[in-house]
Amino acid sequence: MFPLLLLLCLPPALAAVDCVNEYRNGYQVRLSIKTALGDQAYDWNESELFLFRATIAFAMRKFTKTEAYEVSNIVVCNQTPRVSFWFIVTSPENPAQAISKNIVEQAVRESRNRINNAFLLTDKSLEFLGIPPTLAAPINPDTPPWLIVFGVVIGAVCAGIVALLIMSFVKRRRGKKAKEVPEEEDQAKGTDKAVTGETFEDRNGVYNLGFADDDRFTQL
Amino acid sequence: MKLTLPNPGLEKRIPSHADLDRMEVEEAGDRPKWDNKTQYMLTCVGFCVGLGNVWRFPYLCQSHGGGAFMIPFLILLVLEGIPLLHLEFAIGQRLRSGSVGCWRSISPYLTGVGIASMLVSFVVGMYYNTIMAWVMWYFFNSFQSPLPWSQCPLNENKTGYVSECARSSPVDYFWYRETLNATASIDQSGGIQWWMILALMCAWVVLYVSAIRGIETTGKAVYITSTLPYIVLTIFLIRGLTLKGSLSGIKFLFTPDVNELINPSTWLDAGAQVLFSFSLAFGGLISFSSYNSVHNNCEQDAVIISVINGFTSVYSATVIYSIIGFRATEKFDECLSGNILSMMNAFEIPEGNITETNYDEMVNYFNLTSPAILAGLNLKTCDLNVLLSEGVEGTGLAFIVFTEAITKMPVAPLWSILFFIMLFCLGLSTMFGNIEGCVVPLQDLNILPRTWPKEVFTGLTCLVSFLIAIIFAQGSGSYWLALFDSFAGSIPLLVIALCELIAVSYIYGIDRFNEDIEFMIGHKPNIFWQVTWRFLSPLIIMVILVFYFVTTVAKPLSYIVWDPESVNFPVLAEVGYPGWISAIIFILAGIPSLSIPVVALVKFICNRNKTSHDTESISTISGKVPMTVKTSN
Repeated sequence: MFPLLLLLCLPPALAAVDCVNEYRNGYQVRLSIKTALGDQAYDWNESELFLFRATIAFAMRKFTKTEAYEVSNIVVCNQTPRVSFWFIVTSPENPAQAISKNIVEQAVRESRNRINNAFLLTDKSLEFLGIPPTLAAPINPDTPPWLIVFGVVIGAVCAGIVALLIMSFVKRRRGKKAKEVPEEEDQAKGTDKAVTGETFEDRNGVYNLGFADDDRFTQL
Repeated sequence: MKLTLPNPGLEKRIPSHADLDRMEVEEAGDRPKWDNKTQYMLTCVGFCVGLGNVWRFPYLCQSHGGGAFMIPFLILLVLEGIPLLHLEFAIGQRLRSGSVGCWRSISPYLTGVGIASMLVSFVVGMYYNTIMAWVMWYFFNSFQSPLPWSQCPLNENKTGYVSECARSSPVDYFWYRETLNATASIDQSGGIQWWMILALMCAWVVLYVSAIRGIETTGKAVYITSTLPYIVLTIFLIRGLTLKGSLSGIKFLFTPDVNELINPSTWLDAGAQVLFSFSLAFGGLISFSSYNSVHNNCEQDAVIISVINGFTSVYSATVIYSIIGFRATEKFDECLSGNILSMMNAFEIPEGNITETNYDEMVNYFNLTSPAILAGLNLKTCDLNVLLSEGVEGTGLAFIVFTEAITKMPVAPLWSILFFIMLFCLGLSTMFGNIEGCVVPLQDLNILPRTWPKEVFTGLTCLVSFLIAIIFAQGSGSYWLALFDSFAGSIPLLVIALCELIAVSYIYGIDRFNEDIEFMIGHKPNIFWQVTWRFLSPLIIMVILVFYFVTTVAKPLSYIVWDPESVNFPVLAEVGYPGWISAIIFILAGIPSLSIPVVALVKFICNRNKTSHDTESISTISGKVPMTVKTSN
């Protein structure tokens, strides 16, 4: 009877995964709480470890879409003062069997953001050694912003050039006109021909009748 | 007693003092004039103060004994810079003409000096505006957060960063790959980078709109381009002083090492820096001065501008090194944290046990207890002094070191925009002088019809420069630019400066020059000016020229390239120039320098032919016309 009882007791103990020896089938986790949070850093204790195991169980549940996983399925060992440890995920049906690393990795990757946030840490301060973080892709806008600024600057400058060229062109034409009118007046004084009204236009283009030659209308 | 070379016909070529007074009253309509003295001073200050004050002087200062470098710099500023500046101002104001016109008036054989100035202005303007294009490119890219040079782009399968970037740094990658798209050697063209063409076009168009009517438009633009850099420098100084580590940078800059004064290369570099920093021998200053009224006090102007230039160099060095000190301290802290992290991870020690203060003793402890593991960590040596003296001159300073420092500041895009606007203004005001030194001689040489308006001359200069500057938009463009910078902007300037001094002192005649200055400002130049113009300054420039020439010829022709496949990547690799580079160097340095004797020779030959032709025609005329006249009896 007694040996039978003993035999019955042993299997459950043997059935648990031997973390200390088989930890390499799991993943190592490293936390850098003081570096990340500075003054607001919390102490790492058993409760925090419990939270960690719960988040990993949550990640496994989310990934496998079952509600089978419990906190007891996450086995932790080899803790160091650095705050690093190894963990293995065991199967809910058979606690002696460890879940393959591949599935654990995918589960962790999927819920990485949630796990980080539970501890107020980032990918760098909560490291899963062997699971590289997915890098955030830099935002690539459709029109590169530099092209927009370039367009604005070039538009303004070209408008400036056109304005300046038109201004100097207009100035030059006005200058020429001012030179032409005195020349024509000189010519008009020199000739004896009947003058037409246009020659007596002053610079504003106004036809001053006062200066019109009335000789055309008088008959000698 | 005073040595003066024979110079027949000088009186006929230059306006007399009476002519000058008459021209002053009559107000010659087609010669441009300054609106007020402020415009003139701002334009000259803008021309002198350029990128060299910001990125060359701080490096020289720090590498030649810090505070001790001030001594050779100030001595040579007084003995070389101020006399040459006063000379150019006075001769421009007296002869009322640009560089070609001035030297041609002094002696037709000296026209080559003016032509050399024009060529140097043209070539330097071409590559200087390319640097402006780079500054504009960075300016355009500053309008986004995070700044594009703060992070590496991801590689194709998004598993990691692009290898070239991961091995060097995001700022290096952005500069060498995304801006320049640099090839591994000057032989490999790499094709034209279209974004560079756009930036280049923008730079030339902005320059054209500012310089379109000469000093009429640049005179208005300088109110902003000459004053804005000082405002931005002050803002950066205040910002810099509030950052951690800035004072260590300033201390590093000014810590004097008196032993450097014995080193001749310190004095050489100081002399070269004074000459190039004052933008002398480009012809632009002569032009600007010629638009002044005849009785303007050019002596006072020269001294004021020299002082402002020297002060700006020191001020910008302080600002730059405060930011560099900040960056070096940040990198040092990063390096140390990285080492501490790897040690913590390897030895499983809790955080906070290793700090900066006990770092060294912990390293020693672990070296004794477990040396193998420690060696396996490959800890980097973190040395603040090494970080402070990292590659900090030229484009490396502005586009790599400073941009990296900016990414570590809060509200980085704002600082980036401010910094690049400052660089752009500094460069643009220098470009005004270059354009002036290029366009005015072009008009004076009567190559193109005189009736064409100034807008056309400026437009043509800008267009031709832009088309040739497309070389710099290739993949190998930055190597071409470095080549142009070393050869086109150095030896020809020294030669021209020397010729100017000799021309005014000995061909124009120092006596005549003294009288002119007495007429213009009311008193003869004192003994200081006499000694420097006639002996000291030409001597100093001759010494610098000889040493420059000898060192350039002696050292093997090599340059540094960005080569991802080189052994020491990301350190730039040193590569020899290909054989055909000698021809290019000859064109850049030789043609402007040789144009002085060649033009003199050509004029000499033309004159000989003309005099013999004249005597023939005279004898023919007198032979044809009867010389006897019947008098009435």
